[in-house]
Amino acid sequence: MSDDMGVIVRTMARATIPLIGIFGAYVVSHGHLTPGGGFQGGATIAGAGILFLLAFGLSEMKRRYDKHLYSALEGIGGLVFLGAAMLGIGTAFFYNTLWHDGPVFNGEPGTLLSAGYLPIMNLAVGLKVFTGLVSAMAAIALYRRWKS
Amino acid sequence: MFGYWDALYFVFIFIIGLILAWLLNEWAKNSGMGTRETGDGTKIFISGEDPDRVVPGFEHLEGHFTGRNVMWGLTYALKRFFTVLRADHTGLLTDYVSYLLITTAFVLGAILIWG
Amino acid sequence: MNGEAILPYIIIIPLFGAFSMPIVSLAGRKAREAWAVLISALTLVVASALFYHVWDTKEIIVYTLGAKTPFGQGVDFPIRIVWEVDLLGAIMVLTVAFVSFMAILYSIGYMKHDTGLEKYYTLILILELGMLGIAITGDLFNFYVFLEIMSIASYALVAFRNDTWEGIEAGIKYMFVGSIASSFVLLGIALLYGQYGTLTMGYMAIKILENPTVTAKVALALFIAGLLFKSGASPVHMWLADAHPAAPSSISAMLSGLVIKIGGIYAMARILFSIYSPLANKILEAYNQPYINMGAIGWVIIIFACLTLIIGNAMAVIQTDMKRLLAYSSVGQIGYILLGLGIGLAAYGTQTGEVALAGAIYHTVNHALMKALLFLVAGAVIHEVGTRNLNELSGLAKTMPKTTFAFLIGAAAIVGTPPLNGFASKWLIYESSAVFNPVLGAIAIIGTAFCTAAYVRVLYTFFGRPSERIANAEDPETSMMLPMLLLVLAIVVMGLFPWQISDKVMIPAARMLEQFKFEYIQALISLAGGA
Repeated sequence: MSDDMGVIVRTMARATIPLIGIFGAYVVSHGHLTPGGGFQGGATIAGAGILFLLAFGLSEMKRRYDKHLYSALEGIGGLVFLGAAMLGIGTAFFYNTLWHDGPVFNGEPGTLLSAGYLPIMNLAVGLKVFTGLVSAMAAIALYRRWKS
Repeated sequence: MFGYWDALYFVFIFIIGLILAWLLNEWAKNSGMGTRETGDGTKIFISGEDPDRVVPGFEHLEGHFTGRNVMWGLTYALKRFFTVLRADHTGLLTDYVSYLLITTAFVLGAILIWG
Repeated sequence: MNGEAILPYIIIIPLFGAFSMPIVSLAGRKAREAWAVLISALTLVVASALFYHVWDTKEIIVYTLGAKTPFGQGVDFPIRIVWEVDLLGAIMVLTVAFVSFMAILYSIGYMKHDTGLEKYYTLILILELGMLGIAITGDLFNFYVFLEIMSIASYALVAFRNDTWEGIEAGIKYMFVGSIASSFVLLGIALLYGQYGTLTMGYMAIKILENPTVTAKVALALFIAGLLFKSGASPVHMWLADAHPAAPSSISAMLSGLVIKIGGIYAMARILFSIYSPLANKILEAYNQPYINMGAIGWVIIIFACLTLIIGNAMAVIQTDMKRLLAYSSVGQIGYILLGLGIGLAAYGTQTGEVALAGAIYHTVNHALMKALLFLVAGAVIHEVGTRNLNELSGLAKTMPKTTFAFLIGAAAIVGTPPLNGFASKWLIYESSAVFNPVLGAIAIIGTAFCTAAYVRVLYTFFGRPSERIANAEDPETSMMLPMLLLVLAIVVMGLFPWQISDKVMIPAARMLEQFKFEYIQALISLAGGA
């Protein structure tokens, strides 16, 4: 018996998963300009992953989901965040050196390439939240499944 | 007033106490009677528990001190206190929350009245 | 050495270690263990340097996150997150780093047969990070964030061994009630922020002085209630007796030795002495201004301390589970620390209060070492024998002599036997409580009587006639033995210089905490000149 939700749901999921992902990516990358940010966008992208899990079932998820990759990506997200925070360690921890004098991300406030380390941090947090939430949902789905 | 203590003094007092205990032991050995230096007389006495005696139903505990009965006197004397304490530690989550709320209410009341 | 320059590394290093752990652990088990040990050792080095710096200069380090000064452009109040480290904070940082290092070293051998260890080491580093953050922070919301980091890591670690229901049940209970306590703390912070419009502790102190409202009192009550829970004071200690025995022993050592002190006692001391400045309230009282009666708050804490002393130590006497006994003993020892803290507040400004406060700080450090040692010993026993039921452990001294020796030292120290470190701190607390109020001194002595009874039971068990159960036990491997011996060494060495440590470290720490010259506020405001 397959544990997916049938052809209708699968087709709809195929259509919507990319859209959810794109919207999440938009929320992440515009985190410093619009409401939302790394966490909210990451959670939105994770929603796409969860939709995949529900629509296509655990067995398909197991085939596509690599535990080591996701935990390594989560670690990388955290490390990038920490690295962005440490860019201005000469002045202070979390000093926004990119915004004050750094070569990139110091454009006009309100444009995409502004706000110094904030876009980098948003991307890092988005990656971390996405991988973390998908891992958590996969773990919950895997945990103690009773055979019906 | 404060701080007249030094670990060394207490070590000295401890050593003097040991010597006193040893002297007392020697004195008791010399002046006492009815004590054997062999056999049952050498057994350690803990709260009346005989390490060699087998209690029916407790064979698995045979032959070793358990520490269970060491503070028997204290536990027995304060039996009612301990019964109340034990009954209070229910392990129920709701009780934990209730105690937290009672504590908060008490602190809040005390601070609003006297604080 | 520049204190400001090294302070951020106390957070950066464990954070880096925790984030890189999933990547490092791809290289295998040895790499993962070496990485955890290396990170915690580095943290210990930085913590020692920080402690030495603060102790040497006797100055409060103020570190601003993200800018040169905490003051905004064109405004004369601090708007940024600051970290403020005084001597008490530095002592806590050093204790946390040391005991965490010991626990991680111990985990190598102890957790050998467990799975999912990359998560374990990540969580243990995050737990350490949360505690270090609480010790150094000078911002209320930052404090809450670190408190939650610490709490959530400890919820997860309590339930780490999810093959038995005990851990899961204890973890869930701890999580539910702990979240409620955290939310009380958060509500207190929200009330203060709504009333005074700032989150910086030093500036909050000034605002509260200017206008001590009922809101401030309600917030204080919420803080005290939430933090009493976190420190495991009676009658909200029951989660502790569930959670600490259920966790793996290396985690129990950190929970009992550190988490309840940093998240409870230290945070309470920081809030009571640095935000609600007792000196200022005394001055306000003298000038007939509205004030907060800190003496009464001291008495509230003393009442809880007495309850905790008696109940914790008495419950320890009647336990048959070794780790549960140690957990209840922790509750009892928290009672002593709270007693010292309460007297320090109720007798503020007198020498009695200062000695009591110094005794409380001293006992916090000592108890961290002793209880870590005792839990590590309990872990070694579980590792070798497979049970923690005292009725089955008789005669352990024959087969595990070194472990039993370590336990003997730890038990003697926690009871307060003279040449060891527990004596000095307990003596300071007895002495000051007897001077302050003889009834409190008597209660403290009764608590110790119960404590002695509990540990005598364990020692009788260990030195009793060997049972079959322990016939095959032997002293554990080096990675488990080494932390125990190091802790024994620390206890003995600290016990040899009680007078010096108290005079050189603890009394200055108490004096800095009491802030007779508003040092904590001054350190922050003195930065305003540069803005």
